[in-house]
Amino acid sequence: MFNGAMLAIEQINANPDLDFELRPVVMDPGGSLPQYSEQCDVLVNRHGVRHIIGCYTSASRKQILPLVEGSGALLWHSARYEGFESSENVIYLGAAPNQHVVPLAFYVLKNLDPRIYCLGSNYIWTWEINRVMRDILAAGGGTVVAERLPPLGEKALDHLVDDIASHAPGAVLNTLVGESAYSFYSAWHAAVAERPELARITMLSLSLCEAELKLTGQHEGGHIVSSVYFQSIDRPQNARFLSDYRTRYRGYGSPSVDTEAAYLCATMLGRAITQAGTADVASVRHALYRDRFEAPQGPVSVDPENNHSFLTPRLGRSTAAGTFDIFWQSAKPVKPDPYLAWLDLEDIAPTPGSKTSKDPLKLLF
Amino acid sequence: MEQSRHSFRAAKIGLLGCNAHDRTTLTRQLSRLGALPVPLEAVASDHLEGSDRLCVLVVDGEAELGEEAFPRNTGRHIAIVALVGSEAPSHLNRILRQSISAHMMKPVRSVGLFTALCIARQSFDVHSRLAGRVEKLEDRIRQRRFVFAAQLALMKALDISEEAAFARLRSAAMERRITIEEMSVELVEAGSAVSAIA
Repeated sequence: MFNGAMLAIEQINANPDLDFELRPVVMDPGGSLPQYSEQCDVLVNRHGVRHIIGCYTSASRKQILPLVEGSGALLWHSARYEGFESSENVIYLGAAPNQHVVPLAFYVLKNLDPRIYCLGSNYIWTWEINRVMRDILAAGGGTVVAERLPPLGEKALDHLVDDIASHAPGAVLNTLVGESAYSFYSAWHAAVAERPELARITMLSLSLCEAELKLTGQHEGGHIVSSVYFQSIDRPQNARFLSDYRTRYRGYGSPSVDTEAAYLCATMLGRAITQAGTADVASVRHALYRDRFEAPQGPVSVDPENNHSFLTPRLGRSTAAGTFDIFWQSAKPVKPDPYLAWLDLEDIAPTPGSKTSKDPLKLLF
Repeated sequence: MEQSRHSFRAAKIGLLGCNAHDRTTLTRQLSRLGALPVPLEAVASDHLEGSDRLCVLVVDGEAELGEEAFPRNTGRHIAIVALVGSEAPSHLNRILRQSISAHMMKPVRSVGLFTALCIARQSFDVHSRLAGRVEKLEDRIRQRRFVFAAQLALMKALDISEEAAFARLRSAAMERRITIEEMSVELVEAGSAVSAIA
């Protein structure tokens, strides 16, 4: 995220046509929630910062939200998240639940054995993603066969391979994050190499990216990931983004969906300041609502109704080479629905007596 | 289904006595939830039942609303979310008298409305169900003395035990598909019907 935001800031500052400069004030709370509050206070009240890019977890965002709202600042939030929030003082440039978990659940219903084993780090993101998945599966004739929630950061997860095998699910919804995810994937990949029958169980993810695949041991591919960004998106804007990023960061040149979203945050902030002629929050927000940016992932704009973004959902299948083959994408950017208020589960109910069920992805995207 | 418990799509949400800032914030957030904000000057009977019944009423606890605009028993018919400014006990007492189901602190923010609506609807439903059960139980207690009287009459008339008299009562009630209490009332009021049940 940091690299993505900094790349955009450097590009804005290098643009000779612009008569302003973005001066980043970098703070690192180190994952400590109290530090988020303290450092946000320093940013807003000591440095007079009006625009903040950051916060990966919902807990950290909610920690600083009262301060951001109270001071009239604007938080540019890049991470996809579980939804059910809509602050006037946050611009949400990560995917809303209807833009990542819903497409994945619909794909499962139509294309896989919809008996799902849910495995995720024990926190709000996993709880809510599992709830949405469970509701959609229930409406479409699928089921959750087991749910395992190891603590955040837990790395001793090898035993879950046998647990998964014993439930024989059609797929595993994997919402483990960080070290937990890498540990589990490594154990799973090693197990699949020894027990090929496990390969029929598909791994599903909402966060796995190219750089992370390289941390999880050799695998033959086949994991299904729902994301608005993959490095393999075939657009000139993405080719330029990848080239710029790899030139700038060399050994760390493998941007993720979070990198691209943070890049969007700083880029769209710069564009809005340019349009507004000021960094004043109200003016920037007003200018932002009129903007439509041809981003690496596709056209991106912010919905004034809820401050979330029109983004293009995609499904990718991992390859043995550590990349993703995009096999489905929405025909156009999808309106964000952070409260899933417009999700009609009745539409995906199996038709009694009919062997050919409807394809939910075609119905809704 | 789980989805419907958290959905307010097309739900009518009344807004009563709210100031301009809170009304704007609430209206915007309600539209995000797919709900239908209904600005009100007063609560009418149509808002409490029938097709125009409100799902939830959001009312500013500090607004000076008379009995005509905000009838005292409104909270018995629909879920109420009170907007609270002052936490002074005298002020809270005014709000508590309205049988509210949830609250939000003023000035209203987008954050919190969804939670307040979910809690209000759930709390109101639970409260309504419990109130219905209490009413039924109270009714049964009131009729209990008729059960004793009917039992006694049967015991005397048929020279049977207390248990046997109750069994006769229950059997007759089941046959008529009415409660034992209702059967007992009929027997006691009719008097001579004891021979019929025998």
